[in-house]
Amino acid sequence: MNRSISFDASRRNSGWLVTGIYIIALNFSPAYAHSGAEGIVKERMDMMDKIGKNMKAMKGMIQGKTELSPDKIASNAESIQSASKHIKKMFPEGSINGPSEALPTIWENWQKFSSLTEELSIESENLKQLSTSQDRRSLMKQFAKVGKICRSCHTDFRKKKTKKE
Amino acid sequence: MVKGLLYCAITLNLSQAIAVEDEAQKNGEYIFNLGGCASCHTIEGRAPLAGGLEMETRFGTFFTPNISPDKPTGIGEWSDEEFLVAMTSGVSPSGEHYYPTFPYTSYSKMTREDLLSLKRYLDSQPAVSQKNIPHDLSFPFNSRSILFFWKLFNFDGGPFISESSKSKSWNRGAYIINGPGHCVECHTARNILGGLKHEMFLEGNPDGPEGESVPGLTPGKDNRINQWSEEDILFSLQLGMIPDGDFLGGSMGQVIENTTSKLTEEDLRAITNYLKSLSRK
Repeated sequence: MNRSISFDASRRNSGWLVTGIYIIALNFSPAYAHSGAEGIVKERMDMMDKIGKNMKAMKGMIQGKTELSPDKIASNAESIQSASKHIKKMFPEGSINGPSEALPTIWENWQKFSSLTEELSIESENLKQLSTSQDRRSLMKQFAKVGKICRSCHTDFRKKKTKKE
Repeated sequence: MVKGLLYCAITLNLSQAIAVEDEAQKNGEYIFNLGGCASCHTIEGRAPLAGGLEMETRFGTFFTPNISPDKPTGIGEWSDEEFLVAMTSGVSPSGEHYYPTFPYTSYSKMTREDLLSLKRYLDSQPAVSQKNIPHDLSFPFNSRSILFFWKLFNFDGGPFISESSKSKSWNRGAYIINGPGHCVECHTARNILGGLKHEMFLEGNPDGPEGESVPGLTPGKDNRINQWSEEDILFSLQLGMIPDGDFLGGSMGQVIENTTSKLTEEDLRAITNYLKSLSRK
């Protein structure tokens, strides 16, 4: 057993007793759920789900788990490209009501948010153009470029998941 | 003739030495990514390694330090030995204890070779003159002397010890997760003193950094990755994409950007191999 990751219960219990004087109030973060979204928040959540479904549909083909269909890749990529054109207008300033997961940093850093949506449009179009290629390696590389934009936006502009109360 | 041979021998030795140094630096860059150093010590859009990142915790606000090789404000004056002590014992060259927001608790399990390669890489980076911002902590946490006691109960300082009964890949995964990758620091719940609850190893932390709920990585029934295949885990580490088509963001988005997307497939498979072997609870 690797002692560096083992747990010495007796030692830790004594630690609790000796240093128990440092009582700390724990912070509890507000919880939020996806259900109950209305208006523009619901519209954009549905749109994000749609983008996710298109990415998921392509993943299997690109990984070689399902048969590679150029038509399907083109259609999935086009659907993402079309959605990307609407993202900016679906985030009117301050629309963080209800179960929205949007962070106010979107409007504080609108230029970056905006350029990510433009990049998404360009890279999904490039993926569409590559769809006829049977070269899984280039498709994977382009798919990764699109994915990196999704990840980057979720890192900077989507609320972190907090514990449910 | 003799002079010529001597010249050749010196030149050969010198070029070999440079090649060894380059290799250490290259390995150091990989270790730098593996350790996720940029996530805390580089603020996006600002000078690399200059620190200054604000970290809010229930103990107060920490500011990450400058780890560029600038002599007056960074770590340019540090000797190899001082660097090793800082990384493995959590003690600064002036003898001060570090707060465990700096995960020396995991880095202590790194090999000496990896740590020295990391130092070679850091030394090769541009020096940035930027003074460290003092932490803003509440009493009694503003006194570093309590860290001595904290370490007594929460830090064993032991090196990584491989398990001979396990495969090379499993041991590599265990080393990364418990050592340089410091995955345990966020994916394990903490006790009231901020020490890891080792009995809940990698089972997730509902009250992680900045209030983020960090999912568990053990194959327990409540963990999301319980249903994921090895390929799914690999894909999520390479790209951030999870099986339902969503992309990970939050702190893990940064970890993927700075660390896991830059690792070799062999290392990512080692991580997966180790995670899949953890006991079910």
